[in-house]
Amino acid sequence: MSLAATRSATPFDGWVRRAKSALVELDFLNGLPLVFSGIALSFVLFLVGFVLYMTFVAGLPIEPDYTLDNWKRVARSRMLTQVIPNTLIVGFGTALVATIFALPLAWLLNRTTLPCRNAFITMMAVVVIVPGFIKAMGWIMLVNDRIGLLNRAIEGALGMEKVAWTVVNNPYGIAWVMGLMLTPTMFFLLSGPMRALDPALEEAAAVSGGNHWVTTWWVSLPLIWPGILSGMIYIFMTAVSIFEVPALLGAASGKVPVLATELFYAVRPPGEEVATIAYGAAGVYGVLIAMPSCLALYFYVRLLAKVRHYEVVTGKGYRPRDIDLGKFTWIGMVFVVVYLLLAAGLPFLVLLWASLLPYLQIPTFSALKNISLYNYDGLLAALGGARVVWNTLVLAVSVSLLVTFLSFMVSWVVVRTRFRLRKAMDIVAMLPHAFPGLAFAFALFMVALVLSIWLPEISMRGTLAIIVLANVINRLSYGTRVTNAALFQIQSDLEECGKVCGARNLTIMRWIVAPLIKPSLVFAGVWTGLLTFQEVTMALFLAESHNRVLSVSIWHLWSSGNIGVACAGAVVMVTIMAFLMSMTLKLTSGKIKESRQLG
Amino acid sequence: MGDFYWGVRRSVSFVMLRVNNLTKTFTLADGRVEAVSGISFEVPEGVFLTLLGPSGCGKTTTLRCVAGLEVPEAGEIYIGENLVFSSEKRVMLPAYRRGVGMVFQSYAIWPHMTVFENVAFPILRGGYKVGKAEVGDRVRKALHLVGLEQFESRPAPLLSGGQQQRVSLARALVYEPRLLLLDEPLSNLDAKLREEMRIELRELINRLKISTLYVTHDQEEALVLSDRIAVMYDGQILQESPPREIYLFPTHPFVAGFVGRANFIEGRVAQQGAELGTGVAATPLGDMVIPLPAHVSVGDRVSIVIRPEDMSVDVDGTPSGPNSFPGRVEYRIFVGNRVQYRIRIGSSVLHSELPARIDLQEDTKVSVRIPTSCIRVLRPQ
Repeated sequence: MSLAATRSATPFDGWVRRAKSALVELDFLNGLPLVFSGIALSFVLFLVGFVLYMTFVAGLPIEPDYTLDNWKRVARSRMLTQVIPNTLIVGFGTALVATIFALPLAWLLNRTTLPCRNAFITMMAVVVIVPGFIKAMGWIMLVNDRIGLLNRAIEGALGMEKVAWTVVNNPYGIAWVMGLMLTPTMFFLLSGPMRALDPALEEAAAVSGGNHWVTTWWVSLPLIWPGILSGMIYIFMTAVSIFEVPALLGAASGKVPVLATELFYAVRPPGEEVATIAYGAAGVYGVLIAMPSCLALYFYVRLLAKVRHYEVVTGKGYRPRDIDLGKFTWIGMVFVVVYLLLAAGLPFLVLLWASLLPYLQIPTFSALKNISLYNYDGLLAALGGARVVWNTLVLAVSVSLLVTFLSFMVSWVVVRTRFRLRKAMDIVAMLPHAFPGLAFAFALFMVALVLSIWLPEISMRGTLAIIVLANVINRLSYGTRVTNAALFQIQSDLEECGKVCGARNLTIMRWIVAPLIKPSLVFAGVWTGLLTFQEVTMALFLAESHNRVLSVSIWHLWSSGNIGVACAGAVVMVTIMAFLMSMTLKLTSGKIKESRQLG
Repeated sequence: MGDFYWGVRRSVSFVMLRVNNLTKTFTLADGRVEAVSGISFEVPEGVFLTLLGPSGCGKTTTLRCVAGLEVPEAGEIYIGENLVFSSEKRVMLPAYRRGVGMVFQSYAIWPHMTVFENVAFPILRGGYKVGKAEVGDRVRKALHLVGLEQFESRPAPLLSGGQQQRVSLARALVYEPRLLLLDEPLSNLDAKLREEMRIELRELINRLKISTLYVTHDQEEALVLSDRIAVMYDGQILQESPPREIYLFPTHPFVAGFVGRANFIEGRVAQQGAELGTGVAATPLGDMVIPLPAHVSVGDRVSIVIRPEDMSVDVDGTPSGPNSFPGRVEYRIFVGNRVQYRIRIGSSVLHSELPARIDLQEDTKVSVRIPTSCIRVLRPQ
């Protein structure tokens, strides 16, 4: 008789009983996930707390000297006149641009009979994979009053002297580029509600004599309005925490500062000159970005829960009626193709073009003569040699493995145990979604700084490990969404049946649970690896001489004026990503739709 | 209970499952709910016992406690001679060591395995391992029992509902458990298939002589399949008897109403009847001669239960003799093999069932006669 599994049936009092019921599921199998997820999530909470704490100390956090100076100094700076207005323009502008593109796209690709719909949906995911800073580089060369290829082309075509449009040093330009960049995210967010629409509601309108267009405008659109709204909140949140695009398009020059760039430059001032480093101020910026995001996240999660509920109730047995666009099909096709060109096609082509030339010129026959692979010659050395390639590989692979493992551990506790704090753990796992990656990078930077003073022998400064850590934390929310969903879909019957068949927990894990969730884990791992591979902000923030990765090297080449080589590097990077992406599609057999929360 | 043995008759009846004072509560958002409140029952070897009751009565919870998938608050469970759960002795044998076979309501067929792999799991990976060489034979034997031998290599998701149900049964039988637990195994099948599977299941269990605990909310299923039925309501067993007794001699108004259709007439015993063991009850229909059970005496309030098929309904006959009442056909429903009538007698309504060939128009004046021997008298609850 196993006494290990014996449980008391006598009632306990108060705390003891509660503690007991919390630990009821704590055998070996659940203990392991509990330990790992506990460590990971406590660390997340610790970093969030650390950033808050930083804002109230004058200097380094080891010299506690509580003060409100940081907040006052930030309030007195150009904050109110420049930074906040810019951030709001960028945030709202991005949400607007993304919605203007994503709403028709979501409708066209989900509710009409447009040809090649699935191929287009895959392309939307490919757009996500092209790094934001590379898209920004492309747009700088496309629309720019000094060097913009589009400006020149229009000048030439219309015989105008100067086309003054520019995406540089202009918050609207930043909103335009980020809007294009985040459109796929909005697209995937809208696709769910779009597909879940109860066709009976539309059919009722049709029976009442409304044609397709009347129905779409008066019935379908109002019905998905909550979905649009929550999507816009999400895009706003994401946009205000992005550093790379505003930095390239205007903040590095100091002309268009936003919250994210202020945070970055407070700790890592641009240029080589020695500047005072305002750690506390950086914390204030981080908190300012995170506070509205946390609020938005709360509403977003609630809205999402309702949307999911709705999907479950009406999703059964119905196939929403797809609208045949008839003679307007070509307009739909043109819209989709134009978007794909603007978001990825044109920026990539211009990069490819620039990488083949010694200096940027309009594509003409005379320019064709100058084409060479000069920029690709010695590219590896320019990027920092084998070390950078190795760093990038180690970073992508280790983040992918760690995120998958930890997400699985967290989800196991959240979905599969009756641990009392499981709901709180799920919320903490979502925190990295609201708290910008830059703020986590900052917190880690400070922790490493303090550690290097206290314990110089285990210094983490300038190591690859710290970049790995930042990425793991940042990707944890996405990873846990995938693993949560994967575990939820396994009915508990399947495991209980294993038990009745005499199998122990580990046997059930090995032969029943693991094979069933393997596809989701592979997907989460590969997708995380891809996103880490293209990530630049955190890697740049934490970069020192020895832990550079590919994206950081390209960034440095660009900012030091080596445009051609930077473009060559970008082209190589996008090519690798495209290759990895096609591998992903093969591995997961086109399960790309799960990428809706790609962040 | 020797009459109901399907297995080998033994001189001393061996109890395969004994449940004593089982209690299980669930903590929900809005407080604690007692799902099972101190129930006790036994399944002798070779007997098919059904827990019958409406949803939420605690029958599935009881089954899951027996399987070891829920931890009860109190009570004792013996499987064979083994104590598998006892709150007092602090014994809780985990599910994987209880040696029972179980078929889940959802079948719980593992979608990533073939039929063969599903059935082989308990003896290949589970706690009932046999030699590698024997696995194939055992699986094929189990699949043969349920008539699926030609589907061995088919992936599980490609099976129909009925086939999944059979695979699930084969998997529960492959390690030859002494006790079989079935959790509404037929409820996901369509009506026709359910009736076929019902008979097939009963025949299979007859052949194997395996002790079975079965859970269902379908009274007809329970009556057809079981040796004994325990009717559960609100966490308690109201009556446990063979099917015939449950139907003909219910001891609780709920049992009478849940198993089959029943008319309930409230009344009071006015006096002793002319014959021994009968009484006369004052009811809204009028005075009625009823059998008088030992625990009922003159002056007691009683519930009089009459099955719809037990009354005789005569056209244009004037009521004569005991328990004859004049009435009027108010409504009729044709259901194929019989016709259901609603007959108004004064302020009361009685439901009656007659063979399909008898055709009474609505508003027909009839006389209803209720034989005293068919009346069941219960104490109102």
